[in-house]
Amino acid sequence: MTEKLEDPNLSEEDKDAIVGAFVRHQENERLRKHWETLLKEKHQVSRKATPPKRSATLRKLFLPVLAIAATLLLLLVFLPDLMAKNGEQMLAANLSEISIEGVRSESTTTVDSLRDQVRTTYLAGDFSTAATTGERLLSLPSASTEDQLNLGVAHLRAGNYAQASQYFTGLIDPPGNFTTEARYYLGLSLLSSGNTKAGLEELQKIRETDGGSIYQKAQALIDASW
Amino acid sequence: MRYLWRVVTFEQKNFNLSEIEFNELRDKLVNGDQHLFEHIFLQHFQKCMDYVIREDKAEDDVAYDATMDAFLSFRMKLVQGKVNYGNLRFLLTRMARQHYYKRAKKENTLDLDLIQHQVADEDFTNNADVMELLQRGWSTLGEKCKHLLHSFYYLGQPLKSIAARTNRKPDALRKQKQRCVDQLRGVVLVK
Repeated sequence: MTEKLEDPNLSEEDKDAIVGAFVRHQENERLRKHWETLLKEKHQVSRKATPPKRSATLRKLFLPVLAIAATLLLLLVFLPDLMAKNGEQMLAANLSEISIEGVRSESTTTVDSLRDQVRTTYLAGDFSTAATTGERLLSLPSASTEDQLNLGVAHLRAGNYAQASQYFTGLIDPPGNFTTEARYYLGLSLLSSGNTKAGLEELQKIRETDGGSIYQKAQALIDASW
Repeated sequence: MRYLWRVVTFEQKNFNLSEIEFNELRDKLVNGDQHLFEHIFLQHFQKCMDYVIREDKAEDDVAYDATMDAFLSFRMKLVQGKVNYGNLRFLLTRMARQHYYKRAKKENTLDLDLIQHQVADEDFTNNADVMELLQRGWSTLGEKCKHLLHSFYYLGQPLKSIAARTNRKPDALRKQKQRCVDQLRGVVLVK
Protein backbone atom coordinates (compact mmCIF):
# COMPACT_ATOMS: atom_id res chain seq x y z
CA MET A 1 0.00 0.00 0.00
CA THR A 2 2.83 2.41 0.77
CA GLU A 3 4.10 1.78 -2.79
CA LYS A 4 0.84 3.15 -4.13
CA LEU A 5 1.18 6.24 -1.94
CA GLU A 6 4.69 6.84 -3.27
CA ASP A 7 3.70 6.50 -6.93
CA PRO A 8 4.54 9.89 -8.55
CA ASN A 9 2.06 9.20 -11.36
CA LEU A 10 -0.87 8.55 -9.08
CA SER A 11 -4.09 9.73 -10.76
CA GLU A 12 -6.27 12.46 -9.25
CA GLU A 13 -8.97 9.86 -8.71
CA ASP A 14 -6.64 7.64 -6.69
CA LYS A 15 -5.35 10.61 -4.71
CA ASP A 16 -8.94 11.54 -3.86
CA ALA A 17 -9.68 7.96 -2.82
CA ILE A 18 -6.65 7.75 -0.52
CA VAL A 19 -6.81 11.21 1.03
CA GLY A 20 -10.62 11.09 1.25
CA ALA A 21 -10.59 7.76 3.06
CA PHE A 22 -7.90 9.03 5.43
CA VAL A 23 -9.76 12.26 6.26
CA ARG A 24 -13.07 10.40 6.75
CA HIS A 25 -11.43 7.81 8.96
CA GLN A 26 -9.69 10.44 11.07
CA GLU A 27 -12.84 12.53 11.53
CA ASN A 28 -14.95 9.45 12.23
CA GLU A 29 -12.61 8.43 15.03
CA ARG A 30 -12.93 11.92 16.52
CA LEU A 31 -16.72 11.75 16.20
CA ARG A 32 -16.78 8.25 17.71
CA LYS A 33 -15.15 9.60 20.89
CA HIS A 34 -17.54 12.56 20.98
CA TRP A 35 -20.58 10.30 20.61
CA GLU A 36 -19.27 7.88 23.22
CA THR A 37 -19.24 10.79 25.68
CA LEU A 38 -22.70 11.98 24.61
CA LEU A 39 -24.17 8.48 24.87
CA LYS A 40 -22.69 8.01 28.31
CA GLU A 41 -23.71 11.37 29.72
CA LYS A 42 -27.08 11.98 28.04
CA HIS A 43 -28.39 8.50 27.32
CA GLN A 44 -26.67 6.38 29.97
CA VAL A 45 -25.35 4.01 27.29
CA SER A 46 -21.79 2.84 27.65
CA ARG A 47 -19.59 0.13 26.23
CA LYS A 48 -19.54 -2.87 28.52
CA ALA A 49 -16.52 -5.11 28.14
CA THR A 50 -17.40 -8.75 27.65
CA PRO A 51 -15.67 -10.90 30.25
CA PRO A 52 -12.75 -12.89 28.84
CA LYS A 53 -13.63 -16.38 27.73
CA ARG A 54 -12.51 -19.26 29.90
CA SER A 55 -9.96 -21.56 28.37
CA ALA A 56 -11.24 -24.65 26.55
CA THR A 57 -10.11 -26.98 29.35
CA LEU A 58 -11.83 -24.89 32.00
CA ARG A 59 -15.00 -24.74 29.89
CA LYS A 60 -15.00 -28.52 29.51
CA LEU A 61 -14.52 -29.03 33.24
CA PHE A 62 -16.96 -26.35 34.35
CA LEU A 63 -20.25 -28.22 33.80
CA PRO A 64 -19.20 -31.62 35.24
CA VAL A 65 -17.72 -29.93 38.33
CA LEU A 66 -20.89 -27.84 38.75
CA ALA A 67 -23.07 -30.94 38.42
CA ILE A 68 -21.06 -32.85 41.03
CA ALA A 69 -21.14 -29.89 43.44
CA ALA A 70 -24.92 -29.49 43.02
CA THR A 71 -25.50 -33.21 43.62
CA LEU A 72 -23.39 -33.16 46.77
CA LEU A 73 -25.22 -30.08 48.05
CA LEU A 74 -28.63 -31.67 47.44
CA LEU A 75 -27.56 -34.83 49.22
CA LEU A 76 -26.26 -32.85 52.20
CA VAL A 77 -29.46 -30.80 52.49
CA PHE A 78 -32.14 -33.36 51.72
CA LEU A 79 -30.72 -36.75 52.63
CA PRO A 80 -31.06 -36.50 56.43
CA ASP A 81 -34.64 -35.30 56.17
CA LEU A 82 -35.50 -37.80 53.48
CA MET A 83 -34.34 -40.55 55.74
CA ALA A 84 -36.14 -39.22 58.78
CA LYS A 85 -39.44 -38.11 57.31
CA ASN A 86 -41.79 -39.03 54.62
CA GLY A 87 -39.82 -37.87 51.56
CA GLU A 88 -42.82 -36.74 49.62
CA GLN A 89 -44.07 -34.44 52.40
CA MET A 90 -40.64 -32.96 52.91
CA LEU A 91 -40.17 -32.20 49.23
CA ALA A 92 -43.61 -30.62 49.05
CA ALA A 93 -42.82 -28.46 52.07
CA ASN A 94 -39.52 -27.30 50.58
CA LEU A 95 -40.82 -26.72 47.09
CA SER A 96 -43.77 -24.74 48.37
CA GLU A 97 -41.32 -22.17 49.70
CA ILE A 98 -40.27 -21.27 46.17
CA SER A 99 -42.73 -18.75 44.83
CA ILE A 100 -42.27 -17.85 41.19
CA GLU A 101 -44.45 -14.79 41.65
CA GLY A 102 -42.29 -13.64 44.51
CA VAL A 103 -38.97 -13.78 42.71
CA ARG A 104 -39.93 -12.82 39.22
CA SER A 105 -38.85 -9.37 38.12
CA GLU A 106 -39.44 -7.58 34.88
CA SER A 107 -36.66 -8.25 32.41
CA THR A 108 -35.88 -6.83 29.02
CA THR A 109 -36.57 -10.25 27.58
CA THR A 110 -40.13 -10.23 28.99
CA VAL A 111 -40.87 -6.81 27.54
CA ASP A 112 -39.34 -7.70 24.17
CA SER A 113 -41.07 -11.05 24.12
CA LEU A 114 -44.47 -9.44 24.77
CA ARG A 115 -43.77 -6.85 22.07
CA ASP A 116 -42.97 -9.65 19.63
CA GLN A 117 -46.20 -11.41 20.59
CA VAL A 118 -48.25 -8.25 20.06
CA ARG A 119 -46.68 -7.76 16.66
CA THR A 120 -46.96 -11.39 15.58
CA THR A 121 -50.58 -11.81 16.63
CA TYR A 122 -51.49 -8.44 15.16
CA LEU A 123 -49.90 -9.27 11.81
CA ALA A 124 -51.67 -12.65 11.90
CA GLY A 125 -54.97 -10.82 12.21
CA ASP A 126 -55.67 -12.02 15.76
CA PHE A 127 -56.41 -8.55 17.13
CA SER A 128 -58.11 -9.69 20.34
CA THR A 129 -55.03 -11.65 21.41
CA ALA A 130 -52.81 -8.76 20.35
CA ALA A 131 -54.89 -6.46 22.59
CA THR A 132 -54.82 -8.89 25.54
CA THR A 133 -51.04 -9.27 25.23
CA GLY A 134 -50.71 -5.51 24.82
CA GLU A 135 -52.57 -5.03 28.14
CA ARG A 136 -50.03 -7.29 29.85
CA LEU A 137 -47.19 -5.38 28.25
CA LEU A 138 -48.61 -2.02 29.29
CA SER A 139 -48.84 -3.15 32.92
CA LEU A 140 -45.03 -3.43 33.03
CA PRO A 141 -43.17 -0.37 34.35
CA SER A 142 -40.91 -0.08 31.30
CA ALA A 143 -43.74 -0.14 28.78
CA SER A 144 -43.47 2.83 26.44
CA THR A 145 -45.91 5.27 24.91
CA GLU A 146 -45.33 3.45 21.62
CA ASP A 147 -46.64 0.29 23.30
CA GLN A 148 -49.71 2.25 24.39
CA LEU A 149 -50.27 3.44 20.83
CA ASN A 150 -49.95 -0.10 19.49
CA LEU A 151 -52.36 -1.38 22.14
CA GLY A 152 -54.89 1.24 21.12
CA VAL A 153 -54.54 0.18 17.48
CA ALA A 154 -55.00 -3.49 18.40
CA HIS A 155 -58.19 -2.63 20.35
CA LEU A 156 -59.36 -0.58 17.43
CA ARG A 157 -58.91 -3.49 15.02
CA ALA A 158 -60.61 -5.79 17.51
CA GLY A 159 -63.62 -3.47 17.50
CA ASN A 160 -63.16 -2.36 21.12
CA TYR A 161 -63.65 1.30 20.29
CA ALA A 162 -64.17 2.54 23.86
CA GLN A 163 -60.88 1.01 25.09
CA ALA A 164 -59.05 2.14 21.96
CA SER A 165 -60.27 5.72 22.43
CA GLN A 166 -59.25 5.65 26.08
CA TYR A 167 -55.63 4.73 25.23
CA PHE A 168 -55.41 7.27 22.40
CA THR A 169 -56.83 10.03 24.61
CA GLY A 170 -54.14 9.22 27.18
CA LEU A 171 -51.49 9.95 24.55
CA ILE A 172 -53.01 13.27 23.55
CA ASP A 173 -53.23 14.73 27.02
CA PRO A 174 -50.53 15.18 28.20
CA PRO A 175 -48.93 15.54 24.76
CA GLY A 176 -45.92 13.38 23.88
CA ASN A 177 -44.07 11.72 21.02
CA PHE A 178 -47.14 10.04 19.56
CA THR A 179 -49.78 12.73 20.05
CA THR A 180 -50.40 13.20 16.33
CA GLU A 181 -50.64 9.48 15.62
CA ALA A 182 -52.95 9.08 18.64
CA ARG A 183 -55.18 11.88 17.41
CA TYR A 184 -55.38 10.27 13.99
CA TYR A 185 -56.32 6.89 15.42
CA LEU A 186 -58.75 8.48 17.90
CA GLY A 187 -60.45 10.09 14.92
CA LEU A 188 -60.68 6.70 13.23
CA SER A 189 -61.98 5.07 16.38
CA LEU A 190 -64.74 7.66 16.76
CA LEU A 191 -65.65 7.37 13.09
CA SER A 192 -65.74 3.58 13.35
CA SER A 193 -68.02 3.70 16.38
CA GLY A 194 -70.45 5.93 14.50
CA ASN A 195 -69.49 9.18 16.20
CA THR A 196 -68.76 10.88 12.88
CA LYS A 197 -68.88 14.50 14.08
CA ALA A 198 -66.38 13.98 16.91
CA GLY A 199 -64.16 11.81 14.69
CA LEU A 200 -63.92 14.45 11.98
CA GLU A 201 -63.27 17.14 14.61
CA GLU A 202 -60.27 15.17 15.91
CA LEU A 203 -58.88 14.66 12.40
CA GLN A 204 -59.27 18.36 11.64
CA LYS A 205 -56.94 19.16 14.54
CA ILE A 206 -54.03 17.53 12.67
CA ARG A 207 -51.93 20.20 10.98
CA GLU A 208 -49.54 19.90 8.06
CA THR A 209 -46.68 20.73 10.40
CA ASP A 210 -47.48 17.58 12.42
CA GLY A 211 -46.13 15.46 9.54
CA GLY A 212 -46.90 15.45 5.84
CA SER A 213 -47.91 11.82 5.54
CA ILE A 214 -50.30 11.68 8.50
CA TYR A 215 -51.80 15.04 7.54
CA GLN A 216 -52.59 13.72 4.06
CA LYS A 217 -54.18 10.56 5.49
CA ALA A 218 -56.30 12.66 7.85
CA GLN A 219 -57.33 14.96 5.00
CA ALA A 220 -58.31 11.95 2.86
CA LEU A 221 -60.63 10.79 5.62
CA ILE A 222 -62.09 14.26 6.15
CA ASP A 223 -62.74 14.60 2.42
CA ALA A 224 -64.43 11.18 2.16
CA SER A 225 -68.22 11.16 1.94
CA TRP A 226 -69.77 10.57 5.35
CA MET B 1 -64.93 3.88 4.69
CA ARG B 2 -61.26 3.58 3.71
CA TYR B 3 -58.67 2.94 6.38
CA LEU B 4 -54.90 2.60 6.35
CA TRP B 5 -54.15 0.38 9.32
CA ARG B 6 -50.59 0.18 10.47
CA VAL B 7 -48.99 -0.70 13.78
CA VAL B 8 -46.07 1.58 12.94
CA THR B 9 -46.70 4.82 11.09
CA PHE B 10 -44.54 5.99 8.23
CA GLU B 11 -42.98 8.81 10.25
CA GLN B 12 -42.14 6.39 13.05
CA LYS B 13 -40.22 4.27 10.55
CA ASN B 14 -38.22 7.38 9.77
CA PHE B 15 -37.52 8.50 13.34
CA ASN B 16 -40.58 10.80 13.21
CA LEU B 17 -39.03 12.73 10.33
CA SER B 18 -41.11 13.78 7.35
CA GLU B 19 -39.36 13.75 3.98
CA ILE B 20 -38.94 17.52 4.12
CA GLU B 21 -37.42 17.34 7.58
CA PHE B 22 -35.14 14.53 6.40
CA ASN B 23 -33.81 16.75 3.60
CA GLU B 24 -33.33 19.61 6.06
CA LEU B 25 -31.37 17.31 8.34
CA ARG B 26 -29.09 16.35 5.44
CA ASP B 27 -28.54 20.03 4.56
CA LYS B 28 -27.57 20.76 8.16
CA LEU B 29 -25.04 17.91 8.14
CA VAL B 30 -23.48 19.09 4.90
CA ASN B 31 -23.12 22.54 6.50
CA GLY B 32 -21.26 21.00 9.43
CA ASP B 33 -24.13 21.22 11.95
CA GLN B 34 -24.76 17.79 13.43
CA HIS B 35 -26.68 18.72 16.59
CA LEU B 36 -30.03 17.74 15.09
CA PHE B 37 -28.63 14.43 13.85
CA GLU B 38 -27.28 13.67 17.32
CA HIS B 39 -30.54 14.73 18.97
CA ILE B 40 -32.65 12.46 16.75
CA PHE B 41 -30.47 9.43 16.27
CA LEU B 42 -28.43 8.93 19.43
CA GLN B 43 -31.60 8.33 21.46
CA HIS B 44 -32.14 5.21 19.30
CA PHE B 45 -28.64 3.84 19.86
CA GLN B 46 -29.59 1.53 22.72
CA LYS B 47 -32.56 0.04 20.84
CA CYS B 48 -30.43 -0.55 17.78
CA MET B 49 -27.67 -2.18 19.82
CA ASP B 50 -30.18 -4.37 21.68
CA TYR B 51 -31.56 -5.48 18.31
CA VAL B 52 -28.11 -6.67 17.19
CA ILE B 53 -27.61 -8.48 20.51
CA ARG B 54 -31.00 -10.16 20.21
CA GLU B 55 -30.95 -11.04 16.51
CA ASP B 56 -27.32 -12.12 16.22
CA LYS B 57 -26.60 -13.13 19.82
CA ALA B 58 -23.80 -10.58 19.73
CA GLU B 59 -21.60 -9.85 22.70
CA ASP B 60 -22.27 -6.47 24.32
CA ASP B 61 -19.00 -4.78 23.41
CA VAL B 62 -19.00 -6.00 19.79
CA ALA B 63 -22.65 -4.94 19.39
CA TYR B 64 -21.80 -1.50 20.80
CA ASP B 65 -18.87 -1.07 18.38
CA ALA B 66 -20.89 -2.35 15.41
CA THR B 67 -23.77 0.02 16.22
CA MET B 68 -21.34 2.91 16.51
CA ASP B 69 -19.82 1.92 13.12
CA ALA B 70 -23.31 1.89 11.65
CA PHE B 71 -24.22 5.34 13.02
CA LEU B 72 -20.96 6.82 11.70
CA SER B 73 -21.42 5.16 8.34
CA PHE B 74 -25.09 6.22 8.23
CA ARG B 75 -24.11 9.84 8.91
CA MET B 76 -21.50 9.72 6.16
CA LYS B 77 -23.89 8.21 3.62
CA LEU B 78 -26.49 10.85 4.49
CA VAL B 79 -23.93 13.57 3.81
CA GLN B 80 -22.98 11.95 0.52
CA GLY B 81 -26.66 11.83 -0.50
CA LYS B 82 -26.59 8.05 -0.74
CA VAL B 83 -29.50 7.36 1.63
CA ASN B 84 -33.07 7.49 0.33
CA TYR B 85 -35.98 8.45 2.57
CA GLY B 86 -38.19 5.43 3.20
CA ASN B 87 -37.59 3.25 6.23
CA LEU B 88 -34.55 4.73 7.96
CA ARG B 89 -35.05 2.78 11.19
CA PHE B 90 -34.96 -0.51 9.28
CA LEU B 91 -31.92 0.61 7.30
CA LEU B 92 -29.97 1.63 10.39
CA THR B 93 -30.59 -1.67 12.18
CA ARG B 94 -29.59 -3.60 9.06
CA MET B 95 -26.40 -1.56 8.80
CA ALA B 96 -25.62 -2.29 12.44
CA ARG B 97 -26.02 -6.01 11.79
CA GLN B 98 -23.86 -5.78 8.70
CA HIS B 99 -21.10 -4.05 10.69
CA TYR B 100 -21.47 -6.70 13.34
CA TYR B 101 -20.83 -9.42 10.75
CA LYS B 102 -17.75 -7.55 9.61
CA ARG B 103 -16.41 -7.19 13.15
CA ALA B 104 -17.29 -10.75 14.15
CA LYS B 105 -15.98 -12.03 10.78
CA LYS B 106 -19.29 -13.68 9.95
CA GLU B 107 -20.84 -14.05 6.51
CA ASN B 108 -23.09 -11.12 5.63
CA THR B 109 -26.33 -11.93 3.89
CA LEU B 110 -28.11 -8.59 4.29
CA ASP B 111 -28.86 -6.21 1.45
CA LEU B 112 -29.17 -2.49 2.13
CA ASP B 113 -31.90 -1.54 -0.31
CA LEU B 114 -32.07 2.15 0.60
CA ILE B 115 -28.41 2.87 0.01
CA GLN B 116 -27.42 3.95 -3.48
CA HIS B 117 -24.15 2.98 -5.16
CA GLN B 118 -22.53 1.09 -2.35
CA VAL B 119 -18.81 1.66 -2.85
CA ALA B 120 -16.72 1.17 0.25
CA ASP B 121 -13.58 3.17 1.00
CA GLU B 122 -10.50 1.17 0.14
CA ASP B 123 -9.74 -0.59 3.35
CA PHE B 124 -6.22 0.64 3.95
CA THR B 125 -7.29 2.39 7.15
CA ASN B 126 -6.37 -0.84 8.95
CA ASN B 127 -2.79 -0.51 7.66
CA ALA B 128 -0.94 1.09 10.58
CA ASP B 129 2.11 2.08 8.49
CA VAL B 130 0.04 3.97 5.93
CA MET B 131 -2.06 5.66 8.58
CA GLU B 132 1.01 6.77 10.48
CA LEU B 133 2.58 8.23 7.32
CA LEU B 134 -0.60 10.09 6.43
CA GLN B 135 -1.00 11.29 10.00
CA ARG B 136 2.50 12.76 9.83
CA GLY B 137 1.60 14.44 6.56
CA TRP B 138 -1.61 15.83 8.04
CA SER B 139 0.22 17.39 10.98
CA THR B 140 2.31 19.48 8.58
CA LEU B 141 -0.73 21.05 6.91
CA GLY B 142 -1.89 24.56 7.77
CA GLU B 143 -5.36 25.23 9.15
CA LYS B 144 -6.67 26.42 5.77
CA CYS B 145 -5.64 23.17 4.09
CA LYS B 146 -7.11 21.07 6.88
CA HIS B 147 -10.37 23.00 6.74
CA LEU B 148 -10.58 22.67 2.96
CA LEU B 149 -9.92 18.91 2.97
CA HIS B 150 -12.38 18.46 5.86
CA SER B 151 -15.12 20.38 4.03
CA PHE B 152 -14.54 18.55 0.75
CA TYR B 153 -13.91 14.97 1.89
CA TYR B 154 -15.79 14.76 5.18
CA LEU B 155 -18.72 17.16 4.82
CA GLY B 156 -19.05 16.29 1.14
CA GLN B 157 -19.28 19.94 0.10
CA PRO B 158 -18.62 20.51 -3.63
CA LEU B 159 -15.69 22.80 -4.43
CA LYS B 160 -18.09 25.24 -6.09
CA SER B 161 -20.08 25.80 -2.91
CA ILE B 162 -16.92 26.07 -0.77
CA ALA B 163 -15.62 28.65 -3.25
CA ALA B 164 -18.88 30.62 -3.13
CA ARG B 165 -18.88 30.60 0.66
CA THR B 166 -15.27 31.73 0.96
CA ASN B 167 -15.39 34.24 -1.93
CA ARG B 168 -12.78 32.29 -3.93
CA LYS B 169 -12.73 31.29 -7.57
CA PRO B 170 -13.47 27.58 -8.05
CA ASP B 171 -10.35 27.06 -10.19
CA ALA B 172 -8.12 28.69 -7.59
CA LEU B 173 -9.68 26.53 -4.90
CA ARG B 174 -9.19 23.39 -6.99
CA LYS B 175 -5.49 24.20 -7.32
CA GLN B 176 -5.22 24.87 -3.61
CA LYS B 177 -6.81 21.50 -2.89
CA GLN B 178 -4.30 19.80 -5.19
CA ARG B 179 -1.44 21.53 -3.39
CA CYS B 180 -2.82 20.44 -0.02
CA VAL B 181 -3.12 16.85 -1.18
CA ASP B 182 0.37 16.93 -2.70
CA GLN B 183 1.80 18.42 0.47
CA LEU B 184 0.21 15.60 2.44
CA ARG B 185 1.69 13.04 0.03
CA GLY B 186 4.93 14.99 -0.32
CA VAL B 187 5.73 14.20 3.28
CA VAL B 188 4.93 10.59 2.54
CA LEU B 189 7.35 10.60 -0.40
CA VAL B 190 10.28 11.85 1.71
CA LYS B 191 9.62 9.56 4.68
